[in-house]
Amino acid sequence: MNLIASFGFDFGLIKFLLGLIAFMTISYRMDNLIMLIIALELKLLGIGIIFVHVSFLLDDLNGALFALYLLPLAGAESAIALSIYISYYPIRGSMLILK
Amino acid sequence: MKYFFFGFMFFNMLYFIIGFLSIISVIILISSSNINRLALLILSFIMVGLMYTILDFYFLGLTYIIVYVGAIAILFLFVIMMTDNGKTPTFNNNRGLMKQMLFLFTLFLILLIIFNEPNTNFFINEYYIPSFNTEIITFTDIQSLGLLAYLGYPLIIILIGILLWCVLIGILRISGL
Repeated sequence: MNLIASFGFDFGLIKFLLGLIAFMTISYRMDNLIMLIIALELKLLGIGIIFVHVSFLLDDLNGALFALYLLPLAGAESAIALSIYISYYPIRGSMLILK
Repeated sequence: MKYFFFGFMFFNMLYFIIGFLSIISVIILISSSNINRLALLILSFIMVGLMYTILDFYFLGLTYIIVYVGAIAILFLFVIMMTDNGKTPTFNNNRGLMKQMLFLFTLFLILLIIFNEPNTNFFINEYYIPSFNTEIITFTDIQSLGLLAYLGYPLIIILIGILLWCVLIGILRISGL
């Protein structure tokens, strides 16, 4: 296996797990709600990295196409969640997770 | 960048340096204020886009940089601007979380060194031999991606359009219009 491709798998996995750890730890802390969406974006980025390295390793563009389809997914999800935050901000009064 | 002029080592080292910078920016992201978090997220996305361009996916890397930095980061910036009223406390106890993340990162590095394949030498590089088809007819990256997306699987483009339309209607409903 190519050195770059194996590094890429590990890198994508590390990024996904860092996003997962950030999500799990921050959801139990008194922190900002936006951080949850940032952690989700990091996880999607890790999945995209793994897709692109698979497509680089197999010399096939289907993985790159999947990584391209991850973009509107991430955009749609973050747009819906942030609009919900904005609409519930006057009721909550703050953006903290645990009040 | 298939045919290197500077030798193999330069781009390999550049690749690893970019990857480690991205991971370190994600680790620092935890223990900082909101705006710094956004800036570090953008830095991480830019680094990943550079990695894609090194792997010859020029269109994909540039699209990641354009979409994430140009659209999604601006979305986060608007939300922070509209909701941050200065009441959010500053955290002094995030250092412990950062130490945990650094510990896990070093653990992953050790696992990466242990479970790597033994034959991957740092000085011997087998790098991206193109197949025979791509030697006879050389499509560029964006040409072949466009063929796949618009001729191979054209239904998915329509479905993504319907998805974004539903998101638009949902945001209008949420905001009370």
